[in-house]
Amino acid sequence: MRIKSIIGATIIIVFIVLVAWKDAGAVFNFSDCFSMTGFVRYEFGIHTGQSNPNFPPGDNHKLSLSRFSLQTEWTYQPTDSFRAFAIIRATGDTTSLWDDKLHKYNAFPVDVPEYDWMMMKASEETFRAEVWELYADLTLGNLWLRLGKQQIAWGEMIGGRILDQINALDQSWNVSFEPEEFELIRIPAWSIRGIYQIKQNVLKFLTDTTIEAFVNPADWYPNFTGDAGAPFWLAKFPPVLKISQDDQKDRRGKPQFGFRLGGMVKNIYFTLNYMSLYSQSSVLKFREFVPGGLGIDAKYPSINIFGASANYAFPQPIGVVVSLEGIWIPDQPYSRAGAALPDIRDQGTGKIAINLSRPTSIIPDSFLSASFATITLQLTQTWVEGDERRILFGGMKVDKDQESLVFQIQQPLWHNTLTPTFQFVYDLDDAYMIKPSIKYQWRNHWYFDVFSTILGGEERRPGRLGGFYWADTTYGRITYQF
Amino acid sequence: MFRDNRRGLSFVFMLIFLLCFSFFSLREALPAEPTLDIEKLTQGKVKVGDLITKDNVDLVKDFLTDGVYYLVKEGMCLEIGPSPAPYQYVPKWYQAIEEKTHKEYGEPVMDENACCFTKDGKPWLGATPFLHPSNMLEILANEKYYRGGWDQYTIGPLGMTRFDFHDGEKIYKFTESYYMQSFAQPRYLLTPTGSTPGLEKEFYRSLTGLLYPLNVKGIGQLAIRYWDDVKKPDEGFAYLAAFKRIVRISATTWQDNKAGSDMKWGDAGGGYVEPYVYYKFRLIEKKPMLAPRWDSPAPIFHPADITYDYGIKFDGPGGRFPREKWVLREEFITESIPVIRHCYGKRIQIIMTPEYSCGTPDLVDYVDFYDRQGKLWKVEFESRFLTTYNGEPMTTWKTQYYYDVQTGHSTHATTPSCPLADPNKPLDARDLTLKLLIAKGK
Repeated sequence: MRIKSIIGATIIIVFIVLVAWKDAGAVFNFSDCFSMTGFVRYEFGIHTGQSNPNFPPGDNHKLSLSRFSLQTEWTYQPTDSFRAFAIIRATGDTTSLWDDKLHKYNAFPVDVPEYDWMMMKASEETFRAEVWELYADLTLGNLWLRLGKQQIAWGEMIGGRILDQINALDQSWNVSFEPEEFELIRIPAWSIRGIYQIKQNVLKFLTDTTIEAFVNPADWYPNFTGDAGAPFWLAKFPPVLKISQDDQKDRRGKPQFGFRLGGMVKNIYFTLNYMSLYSQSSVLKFREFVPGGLGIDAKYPSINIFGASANYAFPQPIGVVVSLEGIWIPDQPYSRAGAALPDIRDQGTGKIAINLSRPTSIIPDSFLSASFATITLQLTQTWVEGDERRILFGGMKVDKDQESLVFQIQQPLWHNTLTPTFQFVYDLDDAYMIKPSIKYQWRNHWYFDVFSTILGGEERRPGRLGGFYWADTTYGRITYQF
Repeated sequence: MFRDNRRGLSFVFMLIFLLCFSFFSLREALPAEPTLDIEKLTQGKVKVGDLITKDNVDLVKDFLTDGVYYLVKEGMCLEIGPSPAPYQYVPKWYQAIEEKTHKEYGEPVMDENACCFTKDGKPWLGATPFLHPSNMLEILANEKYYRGGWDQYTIGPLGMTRFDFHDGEKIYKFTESYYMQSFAQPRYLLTPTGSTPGLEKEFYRSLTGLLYPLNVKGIGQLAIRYWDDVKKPDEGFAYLAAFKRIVRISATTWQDNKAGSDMKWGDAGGGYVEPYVYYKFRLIEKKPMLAPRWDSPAPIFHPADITYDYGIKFDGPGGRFPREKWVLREEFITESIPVIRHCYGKRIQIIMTPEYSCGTPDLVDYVDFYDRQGKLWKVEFESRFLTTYNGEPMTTWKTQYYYDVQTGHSTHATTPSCPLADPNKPLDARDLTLKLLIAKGK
């Protein structure tokens, strides 16, 4: 396996060298309507924080991440009304191979017990090749359809998911610390998505009206966290809890769906949303007594999500864009507090956020050929109805409400070839993440990112930002795109 | 003797009559205004076919702005071409629409932002509002509404929009994008003609999206321009491919650079996209000026490596300046000074007169931009090539060239637009929506 990883890494390096010497070139055009593009990337993360508390004492790894990736994008578009698209990628993970403080672990734990052929992948512990996305777009008059393995992202907020609930996340290799947040880790699922545009104004005051819906007939996934021994490995159950049945198998094959109405009233664009999903995080339920402990089921109960969003752009000189987004889950599953044996309790949970964003001139154009900076401020609140003392999350108490703040500023320089960004996320119960980054693009093919995640604070409960207090890392990415 | 005198007088009268008849007949056959002749205007020092370089640009200094004069001194060359005849490139069917609408609706009613309405308060439906503009506001109204008859345009069949970034020595990066624009009203040729139902308050919608390089591929933007852009400022939405989401954006950041280029969002259309109330305008004079020709060779797109063959030479260090033919045309020379806090201190814009309009929805030939300290900052000029629309030749955009005089950096935007991508599938402004924005993304 080590040899395979080295061979895989070598292939990618050779590919970089070959493509780098390619003349002028941009996209591989096989015909007028069939093309391929993509990138090759090496990413590493130097771990600068404390040891992962789930590791044996004294084990502190140096590398959080070391990955080679080749991602290709294939587009076939013979007409304006039909397009087929695929992302095919190969990844080699050398983190555990190059850091002797890390024991062997599965760097690609995204696997499912049932219908795993739908994932279209071949993988082992340090190497994976897969068809990440594969779909066809069809436009039939006012109806647009996307059929296939796809990501569906509703909502506008940064630094967190409110309406963006449809696809599960692969947080096993870098949580959601990548600059792209969720695009590289939102697990595509086989779905049908459609948007119907209502051209006639049914109501005089309502314009740009659309109805959107999706159906995922069977391809459900849970969220994935790091495998045991991985740098971002999280939960560790006490040995007395024996997971005897994981409902993942039961959930695959079950349909999920949702729909939304969108439109513009005056200058306010809004959406009304409903989703019927299965929880992507498990809750434990006692099943039976077994030798050595308690036989536990990991359950993924169904949930109903009602949501809404609205946005408005104030004209100059105010120039601020305001976005609001909120959801209500009447049957959010938790662990039942005070139960003698693990049990599940539903409790209504809401989440709401307001985001203010303003492009503004901070550095004059004449200095460093600067473009406008974008300043963003976002406040998010999560609350539970009823008595929060009756529920637990990850074995820890749940607060009646939690608030977090995100501040971000991004300032492109030198004709947008150099872009420093600063993001600060603060959990008002005392936890924070500071994420400075800088991206440099050299000509059209090469770009380089350096970014850090610096986490801390006293609030360290599972599921909270401060729960990653040990995960400080400085990352570098070298990307060649073709 | 009396009989001899009558005969003689009759002969004289007949001769005078014949001479007058010939003279008036000939005068009818001649054009109302003569085609401009640079050789005459320069007393024979410059003629068609001459190459203007930094060594002889003083011969034509009176026909150039300070900015273009500076570019020639920096190495740009101008080939002198023959001037077009008045109205040569204004389609006859468009002239017929102008005349018909003025007959039906009379003269437009205009506000201080040059928004034009009919006398009964409806949005002006009559193409060019002022056929013989006599003041700056009427010129501004023409710039806002003149379309040469285009109801829509896209960049697609002839290639893609390409922005080349030149650092003074070479092109070091480029972006590729698509662009689609459809006028909500009025529409002259494509259904729905008149006002598009449901969009009576809108002027046009546009959709643009990046295709290259990969790290920006899939990013798109939908913009809605209202008829009265002061009372109802532009709306904008963006699709962020990296986040797979639609977000609301501010569509009025006119002073920001477009994708990091030397072009600001407010520079499009020669700088008349911002609300007019942001500026104080002045008509300096109307006179013949040299301006880029409208029959530049059409750019040839090579999809394999996403390049263009422009059919012209490039001059200066690193080939930074395109060598176009420049011809004499009657132009308005105008000045605009911001009345709000602005990155520009002043702009000198060269605007086409009605008889020398070109058929593309944009009457600006070139612009000198000055910074707040009054120093020359940028120069922009546009080149166009000929295409056929509704059976008549007319021009369309080839390139928009922006040169930053203070840094030597330039952006060469190639925008070969087509007024009608497919005559059987007219682009309805109601099709430019968030649905299409998502569909064009990834």
